[in-house]
Amino acid sequence: MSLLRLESVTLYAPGASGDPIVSDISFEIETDETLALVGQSGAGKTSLALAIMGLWSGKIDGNIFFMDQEMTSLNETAYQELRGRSLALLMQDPLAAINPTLTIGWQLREVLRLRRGLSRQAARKESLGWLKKVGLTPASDLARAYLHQLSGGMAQRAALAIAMACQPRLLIADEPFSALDPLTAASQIDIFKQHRSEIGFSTLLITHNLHLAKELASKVIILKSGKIVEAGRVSSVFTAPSEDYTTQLLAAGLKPGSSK
Amino acid sequence: MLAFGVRRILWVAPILIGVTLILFLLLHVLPGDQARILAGYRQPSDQAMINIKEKLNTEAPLYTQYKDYLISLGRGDLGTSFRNQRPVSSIIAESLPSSLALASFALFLELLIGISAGAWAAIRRDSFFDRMSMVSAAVLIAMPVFLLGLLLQLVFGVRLRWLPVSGLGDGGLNFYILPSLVLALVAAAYLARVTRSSLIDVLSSDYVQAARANGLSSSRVLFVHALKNALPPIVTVAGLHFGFLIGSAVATEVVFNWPGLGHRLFLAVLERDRPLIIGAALVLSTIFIFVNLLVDILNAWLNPLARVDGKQEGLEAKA
Amino acid sequence: MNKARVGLVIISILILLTLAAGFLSPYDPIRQDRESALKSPSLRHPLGTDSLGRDMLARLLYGARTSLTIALGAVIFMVAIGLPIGVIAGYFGGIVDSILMRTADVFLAFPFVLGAIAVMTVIGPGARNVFVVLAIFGWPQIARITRAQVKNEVSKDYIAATKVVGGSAWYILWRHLLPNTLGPVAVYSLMGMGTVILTEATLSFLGIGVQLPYPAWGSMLADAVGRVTVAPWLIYGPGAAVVLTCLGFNILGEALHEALEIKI
Repeated sequence: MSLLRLESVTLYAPGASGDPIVSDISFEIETDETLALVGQSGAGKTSLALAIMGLWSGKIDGNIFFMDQEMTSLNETAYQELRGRSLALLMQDPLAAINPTLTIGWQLREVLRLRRGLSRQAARKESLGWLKKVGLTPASDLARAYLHQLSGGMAQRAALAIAMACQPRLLIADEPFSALDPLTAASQIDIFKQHRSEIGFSTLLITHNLHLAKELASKVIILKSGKIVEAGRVSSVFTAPSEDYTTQLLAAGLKPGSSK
Repeated sequence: MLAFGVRRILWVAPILIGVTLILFLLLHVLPGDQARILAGYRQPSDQAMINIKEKLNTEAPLYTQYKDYLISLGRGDLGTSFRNQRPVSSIIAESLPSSLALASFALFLELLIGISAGAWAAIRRDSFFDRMSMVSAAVLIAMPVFLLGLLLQLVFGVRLRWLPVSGLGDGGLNFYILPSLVLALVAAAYLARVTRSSLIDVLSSDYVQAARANGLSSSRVLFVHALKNALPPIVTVAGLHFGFLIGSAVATEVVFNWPGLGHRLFLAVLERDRPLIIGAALVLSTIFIFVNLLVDILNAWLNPLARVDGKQEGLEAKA
Repeated sequence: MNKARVGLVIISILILLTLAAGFLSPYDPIRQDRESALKSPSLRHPLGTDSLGRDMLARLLYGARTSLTIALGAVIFMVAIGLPIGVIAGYFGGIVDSILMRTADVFLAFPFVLGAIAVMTVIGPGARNVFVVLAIFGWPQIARITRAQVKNEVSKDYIAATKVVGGSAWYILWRHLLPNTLGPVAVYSLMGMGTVILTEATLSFLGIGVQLPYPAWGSMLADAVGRVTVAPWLIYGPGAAVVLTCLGFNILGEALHEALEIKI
């Protein structure tokens, strides 16, 4: 059974009636599968991520199914139930995605208490566990840290811990490693892989980097100016790209994790 | 946090020295024979002149006089009013409370109106409410506070006869409404603007999006995640405009015949009662300096980064 | 609607009215006529008369001259003091910077109107002294903005490059730093015009600004205190004039601000 299925989704910018940002996008992600959405910046990848999260403020045509439930007609309260618990979002710039005025531990505990209904005690214990799991040790010190006391890599781990804390079925990772330097990115990729195999969740990986897609995903979709130009299994797209655009992307791609 | 507080308190000392120095120069040195000025505008007797000169030690070097001035300030002695020969400090002490009462009431209204209007405008961006409140804010900012006072007097006091327009009366709440509303509205206009732009910035930030993506309710996102981050510039502007509030209070008290320090200051200006004016300026500037100190400490508490980053200290961040 | 255009239109109309004051009203703004005191608006006196029987329209138009001249003069003074101090503080940094900026802080520690009142009581009232007072308490803002701008610019690579090829300090100041500060200073000066007009109105309202019998909007409004019941027209004309003028300068300043994408 497919976990997430998009059927000819078209997105329009909020307030504008012009050309759609992405048009006629269809794909599906199976349970425990990783799908990579690859394209240059401006191809509409992030818009798609927001649409799946129910955070897109513009008009949406087409259908989005999550666990066979139609999502575009869902009301805000129902969507809110799904966010965090079933769907999670890992944003591109970890230094912007964490609240700078609250400690890491506080933000983690907030999610655990409000979204998983844990008691104060249990949330405290579990939050330390998550910090350890993503390699933020000593956990009790880092729980008290503010964003400005963390490096980019540490902030990314913290963001991953907060996103994973409610054990979502699907993680949408939007350029998760591109704001990091190559070495940090490489270690983050290892952490990510390890989690995926330990916990087990599906991933929609959004990236401009084909080599990263090859390393993490089994299926890949190539997006150009809001349209799908090529889709298929990673192995086939890499060995025999059918489109010029894909070949160009392959040629331009550097090592995994290298930034734009 | 503690170290930051101590650093900021120490930073106040040179400012206070500068302020007292300027006021000392205004009081003692600038044009004319100051003994004659201090004796008032009547023709003083020679004996009176000698007494005053002795008391003020005018022959001593300037720095000795300044030192004496500081020592007398330390004793709470702000000099003697020309007009009725009473100590300036006791005149200020009796008129300050009703001004402070008015100002606190106005500050409360300012925060209530300014922040809620600005926040609502930010949430409902480009709505009718947003446009209307921003146009009103622009007009209010362009309006002298005493004009607003006269207009409100005309509408609510004279045409509608809802509220008293003069004095403190029996001290009832209804006497406070118009003058404090006047003081509050202009300041609230600045506050609404900065609240709106600060909140719009914060609401479009990634961490607010991330909080929503974690499934937190929109009211929790707004009140816990967004508002706390939007507050520092709001607090800063509220603090800076406290000086504006003090200046406006003088004109407002005149319009509403309010028995406070501002009105007393106005009378002192008419009577050319220099010691009282300088004394009032010292007291009110000191209040302003400490309000700003409070604002900086509050900001440091709200924003962990301001505690570390020396660059954000003090008035520096407000330029 | 184009903000800049609205602001420009308001200010142009104001300047034209000021210049044409003599044509628009036949009355002497100073001459008193007790016979016709507190007359409501009529064909003879379109805005009515004040408590001393002077024509409101004439006083309003000549008052505009006073307000605009004072505001312009004060802002020029502010910039003349604040700009060089800001450039020096920002460029040289260190102890020079500290001394200059702490001095600015001292002046900023006075609530504007209050500081103005304190100084005016010593140097005496009158239009010329209003300039002086506004400049004394207004320069620190200009110095701040200039300093921040210069500091930001000095840290850029091209300044280092100019130094490497032997550009002198004066050359760098004149050729690179000064032009970069002009945008923000112009924006602040325009917005400052509004503030200065409001402060001048307040001082004149309190009786220590422009001295009677010379017309100023603030003192015209002071005439209305206690009389709004019997003569509400005393506030309409001068009130609208102050608000529209400030609004004009503020709107123009904001438009320039947005156009230049300057952060103040």
